[in-house]
Amino acid sequence: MRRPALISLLALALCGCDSFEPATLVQSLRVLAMVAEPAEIGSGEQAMLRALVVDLDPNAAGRPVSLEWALCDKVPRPGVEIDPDCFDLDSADFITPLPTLAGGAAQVTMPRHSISDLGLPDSTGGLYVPVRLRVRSGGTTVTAFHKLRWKAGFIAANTNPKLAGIDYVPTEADGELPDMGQTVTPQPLPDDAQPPLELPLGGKLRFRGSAQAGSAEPYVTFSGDLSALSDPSKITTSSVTELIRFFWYVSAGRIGADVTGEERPDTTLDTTELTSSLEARAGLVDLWLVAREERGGLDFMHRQLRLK
Amino acid sequence: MSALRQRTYLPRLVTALSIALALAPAWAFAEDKPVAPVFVQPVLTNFVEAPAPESLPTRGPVDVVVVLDLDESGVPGKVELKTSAGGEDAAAYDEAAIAAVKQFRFRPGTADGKPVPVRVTYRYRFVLRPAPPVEPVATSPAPVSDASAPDLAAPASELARVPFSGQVLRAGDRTPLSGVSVTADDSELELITDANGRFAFPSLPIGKRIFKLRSGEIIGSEIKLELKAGKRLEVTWYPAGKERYTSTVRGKRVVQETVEYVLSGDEVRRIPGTQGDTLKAVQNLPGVARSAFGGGQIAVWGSSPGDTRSYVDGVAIPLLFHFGGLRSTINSEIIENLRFLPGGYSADYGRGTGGVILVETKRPRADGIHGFVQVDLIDGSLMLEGKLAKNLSFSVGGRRSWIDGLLPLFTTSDFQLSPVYYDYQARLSWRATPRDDVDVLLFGSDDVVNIQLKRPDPALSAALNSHNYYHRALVKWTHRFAHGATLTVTPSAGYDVPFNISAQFGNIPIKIDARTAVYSLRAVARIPITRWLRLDAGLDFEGNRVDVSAFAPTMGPPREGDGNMVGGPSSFSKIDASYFIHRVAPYLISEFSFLDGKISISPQLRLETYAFSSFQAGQEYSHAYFRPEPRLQLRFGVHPRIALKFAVGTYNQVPDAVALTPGFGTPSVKPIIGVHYVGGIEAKPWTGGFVQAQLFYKDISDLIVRGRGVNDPLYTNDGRGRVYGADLLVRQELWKGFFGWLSYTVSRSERKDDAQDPWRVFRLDQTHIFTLIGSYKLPKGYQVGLRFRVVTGNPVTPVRGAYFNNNDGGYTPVYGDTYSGRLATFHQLDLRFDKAWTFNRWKLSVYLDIQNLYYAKNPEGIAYNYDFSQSQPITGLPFLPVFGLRGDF
Repeated sequence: MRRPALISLLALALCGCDSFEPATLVQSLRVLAMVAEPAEIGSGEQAMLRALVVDLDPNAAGRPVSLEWALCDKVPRPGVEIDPDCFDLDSADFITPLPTLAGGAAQVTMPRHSISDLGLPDSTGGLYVPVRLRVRSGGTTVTAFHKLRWKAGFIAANTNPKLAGIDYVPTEADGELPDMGQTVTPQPLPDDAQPPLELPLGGKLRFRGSAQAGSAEPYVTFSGDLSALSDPSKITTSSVTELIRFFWYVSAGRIGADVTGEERPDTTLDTTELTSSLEARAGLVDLWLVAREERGGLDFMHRQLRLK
Repeated sequence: MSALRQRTYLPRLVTALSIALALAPAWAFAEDKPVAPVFVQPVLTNFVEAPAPESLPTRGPVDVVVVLDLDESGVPGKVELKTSAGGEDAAAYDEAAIAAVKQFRFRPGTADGKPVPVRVTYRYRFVLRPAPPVEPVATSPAPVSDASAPDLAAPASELARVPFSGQVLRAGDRTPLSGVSVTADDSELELITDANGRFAFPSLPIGKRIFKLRSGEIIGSEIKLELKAGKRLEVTWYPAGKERYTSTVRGKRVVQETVEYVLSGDEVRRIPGTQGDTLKAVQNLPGVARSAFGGGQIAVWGSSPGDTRSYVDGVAIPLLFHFGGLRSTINSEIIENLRFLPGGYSADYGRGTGGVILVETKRPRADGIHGFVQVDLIDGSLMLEGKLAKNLSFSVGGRRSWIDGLLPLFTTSDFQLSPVYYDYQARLSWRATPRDDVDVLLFGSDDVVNIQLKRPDPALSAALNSHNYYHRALVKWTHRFAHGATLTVTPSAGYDVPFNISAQFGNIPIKIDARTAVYSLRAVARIPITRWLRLDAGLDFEGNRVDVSAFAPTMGPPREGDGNMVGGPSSFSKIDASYFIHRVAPYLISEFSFLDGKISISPQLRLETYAFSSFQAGQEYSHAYFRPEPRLQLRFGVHPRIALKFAVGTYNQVPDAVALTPGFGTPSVKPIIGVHYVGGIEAKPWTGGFVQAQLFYKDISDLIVRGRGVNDPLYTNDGRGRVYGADLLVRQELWKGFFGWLSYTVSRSERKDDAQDPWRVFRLDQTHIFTLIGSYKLPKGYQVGLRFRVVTGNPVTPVRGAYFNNNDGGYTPVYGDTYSGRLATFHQLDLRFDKAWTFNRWKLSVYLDIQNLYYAKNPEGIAYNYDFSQSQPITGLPFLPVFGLRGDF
């Protein structure tokens, strides 16, 4: 039984799947993040939704982008994360459209549910109701789902992590990229209110994202007969701390590690290989950083670089 | 003891042994069968001379023909007079001959390497014994297997003669060669070597002599020797043996299976792509789905690999192959033969809705110490066997992989893989009495895989440690009664760790530790009742105690029918549970033969009882099922070379471990039910040629599938399955240096996960499976072989869309209908070269096994880009040459 898993792991590790464009390179209509604030709500409670949507399709400059939010209150069958009907259908009894507010945001109210009618909890003990976002630009449609975490009430609700910033170190004169914090003191990457950092064409940068203190929260996981979470005698608990994962995206260049974490926090940007979209953007390179933890909490930020 | 005879008249004082083989009652039918098993005639090893009646000098040579039934140990049972000596004193001759023949002993005849009862027609010739020669020198006991000694009168003086003796062993493996003719100087003196390959001339004239060795088993040779006065000479000769090995043959047991393939011998070990592994050769037989490289699974006639059970000497084993399917867990060197029954098999086996693989281990050699050492790029193995004491022989062997030593060349600091496997086999064989054999067999397998995957993404960094093993100990006692009945009792015990995995994926620890104590008893009495009726009465008991400690995803591993389900909710369960499974099945197999064996009808019944009980955290659960399983096999010999055959039978299968385990499964699920229908034809249209074709249909009910609703049990018996198809085997046994076979299967295997669902194809449904194997023996020990396969691509579940999954930052595919797509057709050519150097006392062989010779880029899966908008095939084995080296002694 374990062999297929082992083989799959081997295949993943050894697969020569480098011919695809990396997910970190944004050159089309993309949803990069959706954030619910607060991150976890109980039945009848409300949360504000906002999304990081980017349309860098070189053929669609200036075209309007529409966002359509909806709540899909249909529990999938075991083993399926989102019921296919939530993906396929624009309208149904279990799909509740959410009015889009200014700036593309939306407000959602958690439907009234009991602990037993939302399926099996995930490894973090979470139960979810999916929120769908359809983004349309020209003839292109992108669908995204955020699983809004349902607050059971007897444990502390999850909160979103908060990004602190992005540090960088540039390439040295000899072309080497020094390790961050060892030989070179990292510098904060200027935020969007400041002029963008200038980088020589073909240059490299080493980045590190950081979250504010307290972003990685401790929480309790459950195991045992999870179909009866309300019966404490059938479950066991253990305490873990959230893992913050930093997702990197750029509009040009190559990102080294697409996702980083606390243990190996650094990634690189290599501008040796550039794309035509860069020229169209007058040398400006967008950089997005999204922080995610396993309970559905998020934060994101944007920075720009200028290549000269 | 050797048979000494002279070619001239009386000189030939022996009784002429004309063995007209006719199998004992139940086997008699096999003679008329279009396809006979590989049969080795019995060899007379102990001749007893009959006292000659007084009238012999006046009557001259007198013949008496008798028919004697030999049991599996070569001991005569019933002896019947077929042709009397005739004349006034016929009774004296007849009685003397019968009395003598009853004291004969034979090396048993074998069918497919297995001793079998044989009916022998024997002509005993009474001849006048001439005066014995004067023996000048004491010699070793002169062999006497004839009714009188030869006329050794010679012109040379007694002082000019010396005794001369020796042994004939096959070059390379030192197997004693019996029945080899040894002649000196084209003289009329001829010796026949005995069962130990020995011969002894009481005396031969001194001087330069030329000896000739002749036998069907060796390449004829001449040896020049000089016999010197006063010097007794003892020699050992090593003639080169003719390779007469066999491989895929139709075997025949007490009950002939409707569809059965038997693999044995060196031939199957030289099939390209198998690296000499007999069990891997099964993957080339009709009805077996192609297994992806690294899969090592045997899916038979549209069933899941887990539906086919594997046995070693009647004892079930949990694992046929080491990780990745690189090598079987049973060393091919201890395999006497391997029987593969794809379906419709007899009532002595059950508990699986697929096929059965039966491995029979070989008795160790008792003619000295022998063994082998083999190394290749994957592993190394060695074995020793020989005689420990009178009637007691042993074999012991082991194997260890060294892939872990080679992989560092290909891994990085971010990806480390350290796999190690080993297996062992040890056996003691004791012939306690001429009628009793006791065999003790210990064997086991151990696989360790450690994987370290270090990624900047903490959720993808993983450490996985897996250690799985099994051990078995069995004792097999076989008693042969008179008149051909046998009783075999095989108790066994074992300990398995089929799952022992600890892993850490990011923040998620996974641990599965399942341990199983296994105990079983198999007993069978094979009873010939009459010439037209035989019975097998047996008992098949298996017991398991399973202890599971786990913290793992509740959904368990992927299952057939999941499609390519990924990204499901990773709920976790933690359990510490124990459960017992006990299965007992008495069975009765009868076989009626009519019209001189042309029609065979075998009604069978197996009474299967299955009891399950589990204990977890103070909760107990138990249930039991009883199910009679009638089976029927029919065979009609419509022509001496053609037979029609039919089989129908019901089978059940205990739910898989995951479905039964409390916390992860639903212990109340019932066994799966299968009904097999098989009809076909087999023929032997030309010498060495064999053709077999059949249609098959399998109906499977109570399939275990995942529960669908939020409040459903995790598993239910709502699934159904059906498989229908046909397969064909055309085989050429070794003929002028060539052997090969062609197998083709066309089939469709379908499932539905609920009665209301439409049929869908099975995960391993392969519409066409074509395999062509050929091998040609060249002079000077060279051999070249090829294997070419064309197989329909495996079903895949297509991706029809994808959405951005905000919670994990990636895209999740949305799949179309389960298994409604297919990978491209697989085709591959494998090539193998062998070269052997045969020395007197040992043999050295090398091989080069090249898989995927023309580098076909066969898809084994599909890789997608990050948002599933682009795809490309994941190709399998690119090109794999394996070089091996082996020494036998």
